[in-house]
Amino acid sequence: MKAWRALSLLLLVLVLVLVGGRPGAAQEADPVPAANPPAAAAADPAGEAAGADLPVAIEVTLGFGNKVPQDGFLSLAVDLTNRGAVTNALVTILAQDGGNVLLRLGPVELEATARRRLVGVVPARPTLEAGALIVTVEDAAQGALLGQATVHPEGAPARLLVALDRRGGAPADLSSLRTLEAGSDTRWTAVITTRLEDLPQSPLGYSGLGAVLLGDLELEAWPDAEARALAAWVARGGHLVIPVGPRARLLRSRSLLGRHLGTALRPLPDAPPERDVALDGLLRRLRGTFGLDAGEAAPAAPAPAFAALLPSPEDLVLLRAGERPFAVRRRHGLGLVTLVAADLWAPPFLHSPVTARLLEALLTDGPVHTPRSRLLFKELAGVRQPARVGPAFAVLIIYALIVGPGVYFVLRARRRGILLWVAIPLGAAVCTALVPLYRIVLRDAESTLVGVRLIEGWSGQPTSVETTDALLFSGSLEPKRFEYVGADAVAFSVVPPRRRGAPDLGAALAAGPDGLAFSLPVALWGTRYLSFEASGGPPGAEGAVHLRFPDLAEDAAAEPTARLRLRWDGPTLRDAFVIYPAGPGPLGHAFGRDLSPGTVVDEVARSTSPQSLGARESDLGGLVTGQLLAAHFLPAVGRERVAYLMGLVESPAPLRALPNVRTRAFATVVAIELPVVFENAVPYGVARATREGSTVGAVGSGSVEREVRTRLLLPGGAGRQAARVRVRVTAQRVRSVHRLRLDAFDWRAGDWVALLPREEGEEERDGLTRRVDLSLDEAPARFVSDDGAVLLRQRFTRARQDTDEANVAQLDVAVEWVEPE
Amino acid sequence: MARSPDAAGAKAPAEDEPYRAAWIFDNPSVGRALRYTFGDKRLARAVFINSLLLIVALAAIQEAFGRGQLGLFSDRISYGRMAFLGLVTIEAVILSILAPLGLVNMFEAERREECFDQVVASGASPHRVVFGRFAATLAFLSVVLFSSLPFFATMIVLDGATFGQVALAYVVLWTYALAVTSIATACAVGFDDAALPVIIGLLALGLTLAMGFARRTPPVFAAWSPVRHVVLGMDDVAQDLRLGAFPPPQPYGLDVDCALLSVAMYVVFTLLGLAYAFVGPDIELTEGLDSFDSVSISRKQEATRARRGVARTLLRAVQLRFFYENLGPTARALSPLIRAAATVTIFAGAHVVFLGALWPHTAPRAFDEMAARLVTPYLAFAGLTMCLLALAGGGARASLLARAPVLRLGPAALGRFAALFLIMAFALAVPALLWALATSLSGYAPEVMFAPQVRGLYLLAAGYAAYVFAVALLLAMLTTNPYSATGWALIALFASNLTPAIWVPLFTGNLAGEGSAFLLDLSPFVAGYSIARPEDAFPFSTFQGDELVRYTHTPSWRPFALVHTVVGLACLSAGLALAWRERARALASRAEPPPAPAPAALATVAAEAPEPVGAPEPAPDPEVA
Repeated sequence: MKAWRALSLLLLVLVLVLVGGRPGAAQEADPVPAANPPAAAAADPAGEAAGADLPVAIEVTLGFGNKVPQDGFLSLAVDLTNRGAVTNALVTILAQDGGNVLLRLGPVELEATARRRLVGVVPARPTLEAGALIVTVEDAAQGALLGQATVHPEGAPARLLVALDRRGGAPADLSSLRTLEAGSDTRWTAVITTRLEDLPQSPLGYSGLGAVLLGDLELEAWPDAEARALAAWVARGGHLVIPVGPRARLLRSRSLLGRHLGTALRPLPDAPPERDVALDGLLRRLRGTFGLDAGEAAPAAPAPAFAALLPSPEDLVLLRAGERPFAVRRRHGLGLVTLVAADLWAPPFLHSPVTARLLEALLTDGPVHTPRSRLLFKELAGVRQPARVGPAFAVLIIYALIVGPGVYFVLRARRRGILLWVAIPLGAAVCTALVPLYRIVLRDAESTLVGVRLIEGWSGQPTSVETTDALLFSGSLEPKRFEYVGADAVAFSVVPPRRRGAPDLGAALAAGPDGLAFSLPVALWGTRYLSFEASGGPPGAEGAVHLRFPDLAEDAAAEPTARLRLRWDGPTLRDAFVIYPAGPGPLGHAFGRDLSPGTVVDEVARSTSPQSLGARESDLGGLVTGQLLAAHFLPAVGRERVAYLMGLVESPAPLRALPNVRTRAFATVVAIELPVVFENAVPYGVARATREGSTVGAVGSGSVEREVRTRLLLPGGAGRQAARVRVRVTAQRVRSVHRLRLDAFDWRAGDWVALLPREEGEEERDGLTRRVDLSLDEAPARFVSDDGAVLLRQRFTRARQDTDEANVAQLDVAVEWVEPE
Repeated sequence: MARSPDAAGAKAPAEDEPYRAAWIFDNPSVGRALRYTFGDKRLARAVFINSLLLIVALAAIQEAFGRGQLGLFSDRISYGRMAFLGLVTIEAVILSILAPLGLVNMFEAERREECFDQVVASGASPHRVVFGRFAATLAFLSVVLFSSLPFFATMIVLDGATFGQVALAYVVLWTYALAVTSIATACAVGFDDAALPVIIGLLALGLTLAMGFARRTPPVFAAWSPVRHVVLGMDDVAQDLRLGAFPPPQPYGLDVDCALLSVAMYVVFTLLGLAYAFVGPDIELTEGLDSFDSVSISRKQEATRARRGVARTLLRAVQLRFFYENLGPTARALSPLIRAAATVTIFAGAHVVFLGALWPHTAPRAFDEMAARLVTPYLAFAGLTMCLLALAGGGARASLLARAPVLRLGPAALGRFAALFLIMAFALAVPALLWALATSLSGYAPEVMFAPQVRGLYLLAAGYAAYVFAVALLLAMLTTNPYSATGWALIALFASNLTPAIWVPLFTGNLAGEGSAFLLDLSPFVAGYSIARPEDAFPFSTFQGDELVRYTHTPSWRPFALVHTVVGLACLSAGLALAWRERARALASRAEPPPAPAPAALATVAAEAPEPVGAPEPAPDPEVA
């Protein structure tokens, strides 16, 4: 009988196993509430057909042109068409691989037969890694599935250039845009957007883009949110190219975008454009520069509208059409605005091959939008915050002692050892009954927050950029509410890097024009890293660093003497110091005192190693300052030849977290970029170079002789006389640099003076790189124009299909000025 | 003190323990074991160490969670969930070690003290000792497992798990403990109770951890681990930490809950283990088998076996077999059926699980799509298991001389010898039937699933298993010991499998030519290769003098099939003939069955008489041969 019972039980188990398996069923215990459709069903090709039977139809638009950038964020728009009754709907977008919820929208009321658009922002990299995105619409109250769609994101293989223009097409063939940046070839993908409703409402929606080309897209009708989003993105590191043409007045006075761009449009006066301006000379130079001057070109149509551009001294004129500035670049916060006088969608640029090359030239060396949280994360995320696990462990240890040796020895003393089998379970049950009381302890437990706020500004600019990063440690089970005050504020989470490298961007959490507030679940004893970005007011510093160099002829790498002249009007700046470029590397100067509001500084810098400035192991501000110096500001000083005033301020944190969250440490770091004035000399690496090329003639059937002119603009050189001029020629070539053909323009004689080729001389070699310094000793002042430019010319022969970059040498100039009496 | 079965129902004296009349409390082993289990410091020590390990695990996880800032990766990663996984893992480790340890020295203590014969002579049922220790061990483990409840309750408070998840974890862990204890019990009865339980514990521990956390283990196999269902529940955490996905088990493409599959596995293993513990060692104490003779007093034989180290093993198995002679008539009558059923269940169950783990989730479109992932591994497994089962033919002599039939239906009875053939036939048919059933239920194309290569390989494997059975059968008839028969069968098979490969060095050494290349085809591996890849050939080359001679050999399965069929049939015929002769001789010697002796008499006979005396036999009934 017992055998039959055993067999029956076995059969029952086998039946249970078989019955328990259901094909295609989801076995979910997903903690994400409500929005969790079976991954198997979503991956099923028939899943989309099944969605057609549901009452809500879904259309999803990802980013610009459904192209997903490789980094940053992208906007996501969900268009819902309700074919059923009125309902309150919640939209969830989650990744097919892993089931991560990328975005939740709503709840929103969907009226019957109505269409509703919801927009949000999702992080780019998780979207690409998701495999596919599953978009579900559920009844917010009952959780019933109302609509479902699957989206397969398409990654953009290159940097994205988004053109905003209602005309629907690009001004020229932009399918093979390439720029050379930091020695590497960068490809671009161009996308056209023609509708205002496709524009992001958050600056994060632009964060994955390389640049935006603003054409004619109903500038007067831009909603406030979209205008603020684009302006804020530019200030935080975006690159906006504006072919103005006839739209100067529209942009300046009738467009919210123009209002929010503010001083970025200073070179653009509120004036009508010039009409029918001939640009043959410019086009000829551009064709020559871009190697498009083979053969005779037909006369170009005049530009129907040519905007007047009035660059300030701090602006950079990239191109001129005769005497008129044609392309002017202006710094705006961390980003750039490039104004082009003519409309690229109009003659002579429309459908011209020159236009694509012109855009490449304008996009080269543009800013790359990178969240500052990537700089702050390493130090801040490493801050350990203790968890209140002591009470729990204490109780459990006491329990172990009692039910183990405690009960045993007590019972053994009473010769009742057999009762262990009752005492131990009883003890376990009693302790289990007491455990829920721990929840009361947790309910009142404190959470802590550490944060850093980085304020970046630029001397003389009215705007600043604020990045506030916070690491929250949760000591309780409740969700946390965050409140942040700031203009055009955005918030997103940051997660640690999977491998060595920069941390990854997590979900976008909120955005708001004047601040934001949101709730976020944080696991007990878990941490969340959040980053907030906002626009700020004037940084409170004006001034410059004046550098005076010793005799550069003796030592080209000699350290200059720096004189700091600045005024500080911000809150008291503690541990203030300045870093500035000097010779081979940056140097620093610590003020040794706090800078109170209204402080005027005029002192000679005591040159010190910048690595020791501001960095302190003892507090958060010092740690972060040291990290920022090493990771960003010191390299920027060496690269951009600018100076920075840095320090710590005591200011109330713009961030508040509730409930029961104590701020353990919060540091505010200020970094103000100061211009550098080269008083008596301009060393190598400072002059800004622009290049134009032209074809001199054909050499045989496969080669051409090219002429490349390099114009080196010396800062502060207008109206000054050069006492000494040296030219540095650097090239990667097998043969000696002395064999190049290089001429310098004599502005007084109006003719070229040959510098190379010449007899063999001293030449530095570093691998394939050869470098030679030429001293223009005979009347060097003649080589510097009245506006402080040195013009050099190279001639070489190359194959038709080659580019100039492979053949032209890098030119740099160092000048010493005549001292005024 | 044990009571004889005849005393059952007698009124218990007042000074005796209450409920003594019931089976379980009349068990000297259970009572002693319970007092030993709960009265000794073992339990307190185990509970204390268990709790300490849990606390250390919680602290270590908290440190890793904080130091690694794991919470930054995702809001789904919480300390509570990580700690819950840690607690389940620790409990699984504890149970893996403690469960088999409860069966250590179940008989060894008495055997070492040389008082085991007295235990046997007392007439106590072996079930009382075995299942008494089993129940005591389970009670011990239950208390230890229950003592971890406050820790799991803390995880509920920390939102690391729900009440349902904790309850499910307890069910899985307890059934896991049940299965390991049952397996250890069966092994302690059948093989060794000194070191083997420790080895079982270590194996269980290793498998639990490896299968619980490995990503590449087939999910159906990984469900063996009691930790796996928790790991699968944290697949979202693994994805957020970029550790990869942990796929759930999908045997035959069906979604099956991992915990349910684990519990089902444990229940099956429990029943199998208990079945083998019920039936005891598989040794027939009957004339004509030297396993019985091994306990006879022959100093020369004893010395020989002692030098080979076999004596102790045989002696233990025979001692236990004598102990199992104390079973009641019902238990003894059912034992052969239970043993046969367990064997069949193990074989069929293993094939169901193995094929389920490999079965493709999408229909393959050609043989090549399923060759590497399904056909080759499954047919290799099938061939191996069929051959292992076929080696049971080495016990044909014992089956032939068995005293009790496997099944008795009225006047008809199915003997063990006939059952052996039926089991072998069942084993040869199961893979094919299972494959056909799975194909039919999955709806896959039969022309692909039953491709000629599949059929050919299956026939090769089944045919070879039948050949192994025939060889083992013949050798069993030629020896008097199943171990010797199995050993000789393995030697013969080893030789026959490897000998064909000698042709290769003979050819390269110019001692064999192309004409004898068919010898290579006698290898089962070459024959299998020729079926799987009929177009492939083996290139060989050698030097004859200064001339390079190349030879391309296209293997064929025909020589293998021909030779092994002939040899197998010859062995089978000879084996059956010898079996018929042996059966006739045994029947003649048992023409007058003696009355069933008292259990004490068996021990007395074993101690006094050198002649083997058979244990009491039921009345001779016609048996189905």
